[in-house]
Amino acid sequence: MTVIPQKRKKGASVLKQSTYDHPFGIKPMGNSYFDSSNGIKECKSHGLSVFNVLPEQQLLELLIYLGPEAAAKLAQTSRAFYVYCYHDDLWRQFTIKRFNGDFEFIINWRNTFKSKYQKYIQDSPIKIQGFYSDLLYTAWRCVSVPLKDLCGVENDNIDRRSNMTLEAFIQEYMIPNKPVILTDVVQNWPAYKKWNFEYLLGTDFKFRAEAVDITFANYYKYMTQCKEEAPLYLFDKKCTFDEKMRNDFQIPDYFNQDLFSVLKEKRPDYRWLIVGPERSGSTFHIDPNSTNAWNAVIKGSKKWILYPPNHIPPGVYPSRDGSEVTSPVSLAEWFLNYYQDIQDDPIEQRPVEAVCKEGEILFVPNKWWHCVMNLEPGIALTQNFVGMENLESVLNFCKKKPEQVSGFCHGDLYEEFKKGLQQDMPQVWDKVKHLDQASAKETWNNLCMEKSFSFSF
Amino acid sequence: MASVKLTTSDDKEYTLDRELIFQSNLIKNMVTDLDVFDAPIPLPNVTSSTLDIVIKYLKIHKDDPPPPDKPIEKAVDDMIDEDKELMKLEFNIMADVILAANYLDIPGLLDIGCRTVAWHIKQCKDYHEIREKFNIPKELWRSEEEIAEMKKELNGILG
Repeated sequence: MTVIPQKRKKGASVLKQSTYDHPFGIKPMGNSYFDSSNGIKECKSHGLSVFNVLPEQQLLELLIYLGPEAAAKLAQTSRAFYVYCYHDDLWRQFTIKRFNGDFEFIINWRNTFKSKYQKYIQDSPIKIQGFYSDLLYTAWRCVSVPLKDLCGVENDNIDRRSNMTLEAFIQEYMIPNKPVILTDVVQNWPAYKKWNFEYLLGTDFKFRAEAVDITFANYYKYMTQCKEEAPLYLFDKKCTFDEKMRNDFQIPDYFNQDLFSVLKEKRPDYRWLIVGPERSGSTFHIDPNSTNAWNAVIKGSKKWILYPPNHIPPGVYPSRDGSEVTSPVSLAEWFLNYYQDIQDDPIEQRPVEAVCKEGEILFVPNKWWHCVMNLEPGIALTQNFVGMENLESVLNFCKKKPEQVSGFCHGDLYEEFKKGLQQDMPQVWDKVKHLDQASAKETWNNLCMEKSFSFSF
Repeated sequence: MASVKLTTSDDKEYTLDRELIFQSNLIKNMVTDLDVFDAPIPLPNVTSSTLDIVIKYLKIHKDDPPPPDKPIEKAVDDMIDEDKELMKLEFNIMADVILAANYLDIPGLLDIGCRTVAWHIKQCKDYHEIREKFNIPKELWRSEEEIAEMKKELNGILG
């Protein structure tokens, strides 16, 4: 069978390029009916041959197995394979697998991969007709839809406070376990003036971005060019302890309790520098080990959505024991699919949300669900901590859910934490030791409860 | 040993040991969550001939430890001989097996299915050969320049 070639439009085209036009001409499934009545034949079913039976997600996973060389060959067989084999997420995986952070990003991942082997020549995407895919089209939508339309930047219902006494902060926010934005902390840090992209470009750290170790020069090339649904997010713990950066910020009194410090070198990771382009961020999660957190925006701005403990956000499916969170969709897709819907929810079911701007710091109370979207390229600093107000919660969590303890690889966090408190802060331990004694029976009951939930008899 | 009943899309009923079929996460979760022991579970997109291959796989692997995280680009040589033998299939059947493994959530079978397909594609010297092997109809969709461009690009990657 031979398919007549489609003429591509060159130069000033007749149709105005819409923001939502996919560079390959991919359209949502719904268009196939309309197009077919106009004589455009769909090209997926014959183009994929026997593999047309597979769900698209599965097909993309199969293509990962091919590796770059075979994928590039397969791309030439048909329009349908061209589109899937050029899906840039595939090339992100190929590039990272082969080069880790040793790449200089050029336009997209496939070009980046190619540039490792040949002098860079920009190619233009081939626009095809008759290809319909909700999966690929949605991925493109998530990349191209303006964030201001997507994220409800005008919705802002978190208290903003300044000039608070420590006592007032504890009474009004820490004890009720309620989020608040403090507007007069970050400005006093040397980091507020000093940390920007130029400054980071001058550092010689290898930063950690997900599974990639990368210099800031290379990360910056990436973050200023990438157009991705879920950009690679720099989350580095080491640099915040380096003397060059450590003295550029002071932990404010409000957050200065740090009971995990009794764990000394065994303590779970707790402080990170966060850098990312617009559209980067974190999907819904609860912070580990029932810790509180603060997040200081040094450059850029972040949209936060928070749900109180036990209110599972729409579109999020935690496993029964709470150990795993699956958000089947990316951050952008969550906003696209669910955020618009919840605007109609009754007020008491609405999340707490705000745009945290440059120079502001957000208190994220323990056990709250939250997601964060960077509205512009940004730099932030975050730290998780345990204070008197969440100590009981942390101890209960570590004791009752040891399998869910995160970032600790030195045995039993509960026992180590207890030992540390007994040694270094006996007066603190005295206040909470009733939890230790009272709980033998309670723990057993809890175990039985959990058992009966996870296995149905 | 309790058993589980399944019905394929061509209406054949199977009765399988729980221990065997619980390698399918889908069936395992369904049975443990819903307590459906007696009613047969319909598998609308699995034919009996595909399920026969799946069952062969389950029998080969019934004593395996739980699978590790999914590897990427593993060589087909890492596969055990029984699996290689099992994967000697027509490509349309192989696609059905991958579909079934995906649907039934049997990661090990999905893995060897994908690896085998990838191996076959990697054996082909160019796209003409891939087309022939997988019966992909010839499409004229690229201009001469685009063909040349993609060829150059590929040669660059191949080094």
